[in-house]
Amino acid sequence: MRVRTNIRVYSLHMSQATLPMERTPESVVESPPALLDRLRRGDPAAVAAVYDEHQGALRAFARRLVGDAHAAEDLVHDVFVALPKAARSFRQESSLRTFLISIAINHARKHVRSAARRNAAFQRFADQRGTATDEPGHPEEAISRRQLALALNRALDKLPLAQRVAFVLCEVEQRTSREAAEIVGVPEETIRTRLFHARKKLRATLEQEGVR
Amino acid sequence: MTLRDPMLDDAVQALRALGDEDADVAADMEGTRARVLASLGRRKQVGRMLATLAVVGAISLSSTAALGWYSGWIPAAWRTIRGVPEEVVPPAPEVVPEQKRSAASKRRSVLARDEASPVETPVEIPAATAADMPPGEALAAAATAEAHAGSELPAAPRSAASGDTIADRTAERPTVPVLRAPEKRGLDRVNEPERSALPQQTPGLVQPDTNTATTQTESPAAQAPSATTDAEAPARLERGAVVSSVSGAEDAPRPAVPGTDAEPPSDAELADYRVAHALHFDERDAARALAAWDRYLVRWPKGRLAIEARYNRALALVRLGRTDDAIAALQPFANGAQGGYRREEARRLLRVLSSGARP
Repeated sequence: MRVRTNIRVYSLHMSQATLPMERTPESVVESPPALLDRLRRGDPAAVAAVYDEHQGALRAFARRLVGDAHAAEDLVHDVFVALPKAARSFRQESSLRTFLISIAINHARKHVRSAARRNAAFQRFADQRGTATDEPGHPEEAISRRQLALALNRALDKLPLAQRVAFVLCEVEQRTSREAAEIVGVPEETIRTRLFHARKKLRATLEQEGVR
Repeated sequence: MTLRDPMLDDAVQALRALGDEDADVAADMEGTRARVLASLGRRKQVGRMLATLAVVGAISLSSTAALGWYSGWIPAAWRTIRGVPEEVVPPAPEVVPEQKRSAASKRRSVLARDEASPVETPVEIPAATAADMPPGEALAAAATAEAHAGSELPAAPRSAASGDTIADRTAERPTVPVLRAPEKRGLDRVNEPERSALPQQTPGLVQPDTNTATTQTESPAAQAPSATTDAEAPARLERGAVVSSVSGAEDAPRPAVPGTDAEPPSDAELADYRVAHALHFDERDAARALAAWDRYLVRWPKGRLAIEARYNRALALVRLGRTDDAIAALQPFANGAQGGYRREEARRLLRVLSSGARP
């Protein structure tokens, strides 16, 4: 049974994966103490309830962070498996979703590496085949944007994880540097510094790949 | 945040859209949900198993510890581990049997006992009595007194009639009539503290009868009016008097003979020595004593008592009148080849033998 009593949770649906852009109303979500206690005890039902509520947003963030759908799925799995233990340190200073994103960042390292390897392999395969313009069912413009996205993904793979997280949170997720600092757990100035260096490196990488 | 780079802006928008599309296409909500719940279930099972193992292990350990404590093997094991010396308690120092003591310590003990007894007993053989004695017999008696004084063997119960001279009776006494030159006292005194520290009784190895010795010491002490110095010794000897010289022990510290002080004499060696000693001092059979001393020296040329045996053999030769052989036997002692053992006695005997003892 899904627990909704006393929970002001911004409902997410798969089709509303653009939540970060419309996220403001639920920036602070109040989680009931009962649910939190159940989470801390490792109650599978409580975990399932939280999964149902936040899996879409988390998956979207994971996809943008790691750059690979399968790696993102694995990251989502790891986040919810680690949730009962992590919930013991949750002080409810932020929303539960923000807390889940911070868990995802903490577990993202190995998934980013695996995704980077996979993307690199895919790129080599694509280069051998030629351009991606011959993919069926994709208009040229869409292919172009897709290639741009993939190019940015590959460029992100070359960034240190800390800079990648800062870029994804601030640029892709469009969070403020303050919010990003709270999620990551570092000073705001650090986030800005990382973002600056991330953008600089991404620009240089995209120029090397011939993206204009 | 406003992107100032259009290229990056376009790329970001493209990446954002790609993420959304992949989220719609690749999402496996139910599959991932099932994986999450299965992982949580396995983790809970592992946690329960670990908790059970921990509880069982704790119970087993505490039960074993309690059983071991009350049965006593844990304290014993702890003592063994912590304090091996406590378990392996060294045996109490054994009272070393007399047989195992070195001959030097035995000699010192004997001499210490002899010295402890009232022994400042100058002995002087009346000139008349000494003159009646044949020179060789007188010399042998004097030498016997010296040798017997330093002998480690017990004075066998002596018959009062065994000796027909005061010298003989003196010789039979295990105590040492002291006749010492003043200059010797200093040297002697050096050894006294050591000897006095030694036990009076040395069980095991034959010891002179202290009580008997004391008694016998006192009587000659009453009979001997005056002490005789070494300087008068040659004169008395010329008159036939017998002078008991200084205790052999004082002038004859046991020489340090290599290989002899390390090990005590064996029973067989002691037995041979006892036989010769009895023949020499008790039965006063010089011929048989000589043979016995020869037997001992053949069997134990480097025995613990070989030096004493050689000296007593020399005395036996003196008694038998074999002057030349006696001189040859005494020469090493006079020369100090035996580490100063009986050196002065040997020199005095040699002077007598060389000057007036020839028949």
